[in-house]
Amino acid sequence: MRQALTYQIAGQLDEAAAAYQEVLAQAPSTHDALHMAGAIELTRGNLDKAERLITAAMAVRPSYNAIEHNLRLVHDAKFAALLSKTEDLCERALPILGEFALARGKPHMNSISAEGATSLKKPIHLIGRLDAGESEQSLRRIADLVAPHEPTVWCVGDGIVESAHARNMRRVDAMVGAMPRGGTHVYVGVDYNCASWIDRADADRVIVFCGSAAPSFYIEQLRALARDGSRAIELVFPSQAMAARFGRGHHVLPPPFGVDPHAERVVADVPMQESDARTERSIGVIGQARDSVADATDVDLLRALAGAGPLRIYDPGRLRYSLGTNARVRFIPRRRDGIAEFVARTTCFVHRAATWWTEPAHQELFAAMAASIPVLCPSSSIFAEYIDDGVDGMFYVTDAECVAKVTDLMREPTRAVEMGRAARTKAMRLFDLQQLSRRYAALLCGDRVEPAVAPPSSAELVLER
Amino acid sequence: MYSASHDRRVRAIAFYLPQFHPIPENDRWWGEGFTEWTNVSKAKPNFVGHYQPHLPADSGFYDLRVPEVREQQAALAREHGIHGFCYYYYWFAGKRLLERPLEEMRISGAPAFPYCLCWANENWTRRWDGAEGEVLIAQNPSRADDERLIRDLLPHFRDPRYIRVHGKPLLIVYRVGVLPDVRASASIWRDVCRREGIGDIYLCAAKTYDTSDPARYGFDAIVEFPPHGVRTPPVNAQVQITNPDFDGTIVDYRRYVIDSLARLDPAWVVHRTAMPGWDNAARRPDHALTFIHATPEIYEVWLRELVARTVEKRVPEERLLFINAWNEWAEAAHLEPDQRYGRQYLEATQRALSDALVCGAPFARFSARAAIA
Repeated sequence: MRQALTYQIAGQLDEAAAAYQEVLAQAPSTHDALHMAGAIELTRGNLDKAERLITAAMAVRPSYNAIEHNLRLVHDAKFAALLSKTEDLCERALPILGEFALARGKPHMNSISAEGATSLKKPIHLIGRLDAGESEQSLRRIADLVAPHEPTVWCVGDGIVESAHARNMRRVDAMVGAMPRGGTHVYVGVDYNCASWIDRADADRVIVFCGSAAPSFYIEQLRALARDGSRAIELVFPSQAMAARFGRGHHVLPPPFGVDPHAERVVADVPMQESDARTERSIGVIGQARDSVADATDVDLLRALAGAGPLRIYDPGRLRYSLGTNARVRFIPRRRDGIAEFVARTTCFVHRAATWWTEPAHQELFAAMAASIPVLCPSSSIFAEYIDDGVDGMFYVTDAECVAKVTDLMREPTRAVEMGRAARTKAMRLFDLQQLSRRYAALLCGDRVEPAVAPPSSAELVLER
Repeated sequence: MYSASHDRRVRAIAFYLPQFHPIPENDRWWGEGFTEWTNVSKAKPNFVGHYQPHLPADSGFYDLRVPEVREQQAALAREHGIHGFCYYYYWFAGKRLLERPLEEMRISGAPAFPYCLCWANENWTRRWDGAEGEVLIAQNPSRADDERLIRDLLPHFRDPRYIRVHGKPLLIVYRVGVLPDVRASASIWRDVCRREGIGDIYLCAAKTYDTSDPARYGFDAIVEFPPHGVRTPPVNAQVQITNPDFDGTIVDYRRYVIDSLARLDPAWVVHRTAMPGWDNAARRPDHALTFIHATPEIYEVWLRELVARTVEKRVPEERLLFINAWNEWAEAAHLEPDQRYGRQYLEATQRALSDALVCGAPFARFSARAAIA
């Protein structure tokens, strides 16, 4: 038993597992051997076997905290695996949902210009969640962009109703009939529950700004908003790549991101030596804004990045426990409007994407571009189309490629500055306040808008089985 | 395998319940004028968000004694790519029930739509589920009935509309396990058919309570019969129950689909079956088995995958795929349009089947690769 434990501590799992089996062959009810053998299977990802062994250990030695803890870990892992399979299934259903279940009626299209639409005074209701997160930022920003059209902002849930738009801000309360009615309903995000009132919220037109949410949630929520296909809804996506996952014929607009044109850039507008000093040539990444982002692979990548240069992790979450002892890693807690300050202090920003629905929000990526920071972006990211590889950022496919490119960039600060400058120019163009306001107003007031960037050609959309 | 064949056609067959008309026996057991609609229309939700009752849209509360209804059903099915119907055949030791729509269809030759039969050889009980309980009419299977049954079926086997596999009329037996000597029965059925000039028959056992290798029964193949064999863990805790007397089971349809797709094909021939949903709350309000999260797009993903596998694994003549069901309204398993989803399940079926005819991947996923601005 002692030998087995030694193997296990040394990370020699095969030897440890074999040693535990020897123990169990002689004494099948040795709870420590059952427990530890189960823990090894948990590490290996053999969850059924791990559950069997640890449950057997528990039967021999009930009420033992360590065993209970590991059994809980097994159950958590099984649940996560189940969830991921369900989301995979639902992801495959999204193009079907988008192409036929939501497109029953004709989408609202006319030729009224944004200026012409203003005179119609069709009421606009913006509906979303005040959650101090991505949804709230998008809701408030869209309200700003279409402020001349005097939208009413409806808060779903328990968020605090206070903002510059407070006079036009209301809370949905189905019990007293307080809900948007008539005009254009603009749902910002889909991560809230509207089942109790959606059937009564009649609208002339329904638009949904799609943000981060799991595919299963999308199916449920979009079906509810479209009343199972009995009314047409229009979907707006922040990128072509994301829109393509929901079938064809959707709107694409740059996300409602704000760039302060007067804000001084740390790197781009100062001489190289100074910029090096001010930024400390660090690498920035977003930590664990959503639980599913960080796993063992992430930790390996982050360790490797820390080898390439000082690493700053914004909103680290559980990564604190994995990387807390690494002297080259600094953790920056998430706080309101803290992202701009965070990215501005980095030399390059590494964007990560596990699945598109767990991909960190656009805010961080565009904040980096706006702050003249080159972004290393997975070519699989739904925001990759906003980056010109080698011009204002770089693509990577594998973690090794990411580390290699970051290492090169850290050694070539001039190149980083050039890329950063190009990134800021692009961000200024994409998020020009007047242009963005006009495009958002045009969409919300009746016009169909052109895609923000060239749509992918059929050759660029790789078909997989 | 066989996917290189030019003929990628899959014959989709929907199970068809020939109820929806009154009969004297049901009048006696359940009350005057009883039909399946009696239960369907009075179903109530058991939990928040529970979709009940399922009410028909286009077709209304139809009566299957009306020939136009049968014509409309066939036209709707044909329009959406369904190859034929599989009618339940209720035969209890010589006594037939619910036979009128089927007999009228056979004798009149209308609708001109392919069909086959599934001998629903289980007892009718007060519990509606074929399990033990107060028996209304029993099967009492005996060897003597084998020849009587098959002779009863001969007129159908001679019908030009009858569905064949390798030229053999297709017959499904719902519960092979309750037959006293199923191998002997199969042998008698085949002998009689040969002697009567039909030739051999293609015998399938429904994968219900107690099926395995069809060769054990002298059969040719197995037909899956979801939700039979459901091992998906219940998710009752995920919903807010509103019926205090409810002690049924709630299952995640998506999880069931994942389990179905993860199932490995055995060495013998299994014809795959998808279901648009399932919920027998109309028949057993407090003890229902209810699938939640069933939507047309998830059903379509399932069906597409089954179509692809059928094309890949079966020779063209054996490319059968079943759907449970065309009109099991009291089990919320229906392709026929309802008031909530309209024709979405039919359209999903049509798309899944027609895409199979297009060479290449029947189901395409966009990779994450994006365009460069």
